[in-house]
Amino acid sequence: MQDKANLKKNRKEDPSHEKKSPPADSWEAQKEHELHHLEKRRRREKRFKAYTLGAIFIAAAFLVFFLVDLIIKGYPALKQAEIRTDITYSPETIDNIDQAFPEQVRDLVSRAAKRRLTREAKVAEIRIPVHYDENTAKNPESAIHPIQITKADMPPWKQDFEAQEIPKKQLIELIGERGFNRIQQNMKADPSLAGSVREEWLPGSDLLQGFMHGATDLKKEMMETAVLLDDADHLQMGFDTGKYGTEGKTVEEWVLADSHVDQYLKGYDFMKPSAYDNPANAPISKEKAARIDRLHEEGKIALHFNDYFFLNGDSKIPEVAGMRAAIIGSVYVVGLVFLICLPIGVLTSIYLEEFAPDNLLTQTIEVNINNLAAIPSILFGVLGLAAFINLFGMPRSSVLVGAATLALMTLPIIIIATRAALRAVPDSIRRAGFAMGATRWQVVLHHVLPVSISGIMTGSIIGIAKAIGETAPLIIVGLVSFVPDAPVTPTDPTSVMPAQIFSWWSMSLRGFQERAALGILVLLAVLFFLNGLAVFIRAKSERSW
Amino acid sequence: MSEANQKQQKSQPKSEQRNTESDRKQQEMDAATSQFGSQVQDRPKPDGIEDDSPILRFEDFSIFYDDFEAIKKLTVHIPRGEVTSIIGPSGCGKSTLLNAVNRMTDLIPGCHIKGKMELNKEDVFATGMDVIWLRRRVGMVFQKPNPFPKSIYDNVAYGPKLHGKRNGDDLDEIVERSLKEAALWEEVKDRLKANAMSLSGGQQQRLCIARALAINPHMVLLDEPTSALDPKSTSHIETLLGQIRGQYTVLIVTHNMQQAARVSDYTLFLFEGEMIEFNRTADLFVNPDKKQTEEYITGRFG
Repeated sequence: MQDKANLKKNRKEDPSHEKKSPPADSWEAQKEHELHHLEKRRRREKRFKAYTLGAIFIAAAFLVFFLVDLIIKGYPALKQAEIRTDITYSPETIDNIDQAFPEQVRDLVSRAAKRRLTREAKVAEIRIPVHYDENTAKNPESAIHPIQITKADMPPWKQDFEAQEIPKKQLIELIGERGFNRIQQNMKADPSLAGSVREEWLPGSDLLQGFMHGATDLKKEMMETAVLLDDADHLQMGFDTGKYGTEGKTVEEWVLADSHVDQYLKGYDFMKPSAYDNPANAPISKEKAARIDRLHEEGKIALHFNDYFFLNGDSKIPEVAGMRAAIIGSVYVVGLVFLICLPIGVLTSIYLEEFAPDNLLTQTIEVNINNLAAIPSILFGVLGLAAFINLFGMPRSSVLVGAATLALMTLPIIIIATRAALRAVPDSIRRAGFAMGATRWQVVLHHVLPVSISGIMTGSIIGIAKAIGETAPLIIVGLVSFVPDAPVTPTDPTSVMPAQIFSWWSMSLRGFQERAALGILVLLAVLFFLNGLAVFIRAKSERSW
Repeated sequence: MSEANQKQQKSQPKSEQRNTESDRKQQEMDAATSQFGSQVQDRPKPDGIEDDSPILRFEDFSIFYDDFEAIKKLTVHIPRGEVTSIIGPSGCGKSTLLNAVNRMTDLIPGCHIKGKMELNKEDVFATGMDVIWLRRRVGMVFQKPNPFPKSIYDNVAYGPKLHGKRNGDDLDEIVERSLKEAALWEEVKDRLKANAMSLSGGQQQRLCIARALAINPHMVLLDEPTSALDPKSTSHIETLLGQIRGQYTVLIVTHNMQQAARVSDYTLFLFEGEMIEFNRTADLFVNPDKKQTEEYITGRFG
């Protein structure tokens, strides 16, 4: 340090010390020159270190900012407001479900919860003449006879209809166990019914329930019969007396609150000047806000863990929208990608690395694979649209087409990673194998693959992780669409996590925004898990030679 | 008949005497390995040929890398059951010649040959020759120890398994015999399941020798087997070469002329791809015919 200080002093006092310094060949001059030079080098090194530290700091700051922002935005979505309230199920309330709730919470309950209650309280019923006799109690099916549908039964716009008989077999199928139970109960309650014929509304089978709720997967004849019965006013949605008794009953339950109530409880101020130009338009008025606060204090409104997010599919109602379908879709798509890419990618790499002669053809293939890995991912979407949808006729938005498109994108990454892993295996091991009289295939299988498998898996997992987060090519093959149900077969339409986040983020309601942020956190968690797995595999199977 | 062969026949009795002498010396050097000497010597010869016909004949044999002629018209007969060393300065084609014997040169793009090489009277480079069959009969040990990253047992058993031995007892026997021949048995018999990578460099190289011996080869090729090892491991390996001499024909490439003098019965001196001299080691080192040989072995060049 002292030397340095001296040196500085020297230079200050005598800026032209180089000229005046003792002869160049003297020991003193050489030392001074070298020290001066060294100091310059040290300064440069310090400066360089500062640059690198600065770069790391900036990168870390970006990351921290990104994560904190997402957590702040997404964390509230883990909680969801629910209301503890009496619900009155009765034949009167099912046509006007608002009546089922006490007045003070009526406008706070979610539309979705109301819709669910209606659905639960109602049951599909079928009107049918029941022929009661002595046998009915034992064998209620005998009370059902085929029925005639005539022109008179049909609505005025279907007058070109010809009379038709509905066979007994189909009626039995539509009535089901619950309907026959009802017949037996009627018979037991009033034995004098024997011998009479009475028109009854009977609760229908699961098949009928499904039809009335809009299911379309019925057999063709059943479908036609059901439509016919519906037109002839033989079907209706009635109050489920089997479940709630003829007079109805009142239960106390936690039901989902409206999204605005949820946002208010989480601290969004609907009255702040920037929120609405006219405060009267705000969904939470001052009166409502006061009511919510009061109920919250009483413990009638509370924030509970949002299991809807993980158990529901997408919905147009923010408080019930969930990610389940998208998560399952992502797992499905990526699983298929893995199944397609791993064997093709690894076998291609083995051929190129171990078998192929070094000629123009293989060099061309190599250059093209490297180029493919650098292509913008949206172009793979265009390719997928042209090839898989237009040429091969795969269904749009389906798991299959999504997986095929992402496989195109992932394949070059896996091939490059696998080739790097194969190339890292020292040649001496191959030569040892050959010298023992192994064929090339045996050398690959016995010696090269076992030592490179960790590298191959690491590369593949990173490629797959990239596929999970990919959105652009999926937009083009139609995976960004409203799909509330999780896919079952590969041709089912599906949504995937990034696509779900994308569509939520473009919604204006705050409930969706919050869910999008939480969705990103879930996606990040999946990616961290996969990358952690890759690191773990690499660390676990690292070898030295 | 070539000059080399005549010489070989003339000096036959002398050779035997020398063998026993060196054997005794090596037994004193390494008592631990000597107890297996008799076991090695008593087994039948792997190729079943007991006569003195040369095991390997080169006739006008040339090797080319594209246009470059690495070995030029070599004509020499390598005697059976003896240790023959190949010496010469760097780049003279020693390793290339060795690699040609089990056709490892096939793996090098652009490498081709002219002339004839016969192993046990079979043309090695004939179109009908199955390379796998050939390599199964020629064991090879490389410059750098290159055991497979598997257990010690699996390393030795790999060759026999590859060539159809599945029986566990047979394999155990082969592994034990090979490790004893390679003078490694005592050190590893308690940890055969340990990874071969955990052995020291010298042990790894002896494991590679054991691996090569496990397939019962007609011939063992050693490509500078001790150049990456310390002196102690080197002396270990030289001792074991003394043990297996007579049972196997050994062809060893070496940079170290003292080593060639110590371990081999015959020496082939190559210079720029050409054979300068081939003779009994004792004669070549004491009384070289050619001036170039003399200059090389006295260290004036190379």
